[in-house]
Amino acid sequence: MKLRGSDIVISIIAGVLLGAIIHLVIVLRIPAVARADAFTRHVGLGANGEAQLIPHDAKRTAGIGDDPAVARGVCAWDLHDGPVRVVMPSSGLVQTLSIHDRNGRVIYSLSDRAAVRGAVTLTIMTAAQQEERRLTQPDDAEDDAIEVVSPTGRGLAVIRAVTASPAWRERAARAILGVTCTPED
Amino acid sequence: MRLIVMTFITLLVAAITGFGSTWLALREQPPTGAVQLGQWRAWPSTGGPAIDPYARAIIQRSGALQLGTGEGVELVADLDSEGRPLSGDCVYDMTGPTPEARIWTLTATATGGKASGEPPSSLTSEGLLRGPGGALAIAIAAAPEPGAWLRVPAGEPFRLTLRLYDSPTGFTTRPHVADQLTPVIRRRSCS
Repeated sequence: MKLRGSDIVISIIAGVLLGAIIHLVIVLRIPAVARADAFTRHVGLGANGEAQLIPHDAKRTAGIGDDPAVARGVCAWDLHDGPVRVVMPSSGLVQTLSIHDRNGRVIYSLSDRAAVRGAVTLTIMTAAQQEERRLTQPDDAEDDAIEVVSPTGRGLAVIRAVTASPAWRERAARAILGVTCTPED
Repeated sequence: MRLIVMTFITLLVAAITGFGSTWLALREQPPTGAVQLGQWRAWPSTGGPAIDPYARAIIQRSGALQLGTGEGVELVADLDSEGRPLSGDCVYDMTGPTPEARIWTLTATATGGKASGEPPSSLTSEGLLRGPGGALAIAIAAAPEPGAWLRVPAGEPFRLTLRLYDSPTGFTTRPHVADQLTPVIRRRSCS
């Protein structure tokens, strides 16, 4: 009946172990249950096949990847109807492109230095779609596009244009709005 | 009775350690995966598919869009050259080399996730006023300074973020070399 010292020690050890499990479960589950994640916020952008600007959030400007000197745009993509082609024309500014999957991972990223004939071209596809392309397309098909295989069927293409001075804002905005992400036929 | 008390203690300890440690781990910066480069810290795995689980939880919770490895790298400094927290009451000099990049930006933000009234101030490597011989010399202070000046929130602790675009991120995997590639933030005086 009486609680012994060893009982308390056992309870605390069990509690810490259970606490560690709680810690792991929460950390690993957050990406799946988060409701304010970037994909949920920006899923409406770029629906018509053209990238749209995301405004600087005055409250969160300190955040990861949010540079006040950089204009950002997003194109949400969906591979349901086939691969999606992202074209980022060069503009003279330092421009970068990253492909984020539905779960917050960057699956591919590069800068405009990788441009071929004045544009960076990517084709996002699922592993199954890539397999299908291998079978149906001739080996000598001429295409500058870089193939990006996504583990998820949806995600975001994020475009950044660095504005060295505020006078370049408009130029950066135009560079971003010139990016297209359209389903491949 | 004994079992009930033991269960109660176990659940109480589990709740405190479980939720408490999770809150601490996800409060601000990922507790794992950081690389120390001189005074600066970077999380190289954040920009790729093998992102650290803590970094991913923090990013997904905040709605941030991290910089991809192929885009550039983000370096963060919270302390001066002598290990004291950066404060808006002091004047700092940032000197030394910067890692190779096509363009970089330096941003000062209030720490603790608190948004200060003003938008964060930033400088870019393009059009930056340089010291004699082209050396990097940036004054970091709340009040205007001659030459290159980065405004910081007066009287508040702040953080410096150096973002290097189109930079070979390989240097983050070799901290012993990167040590000599990153700028130094020295405290000049305090009010």
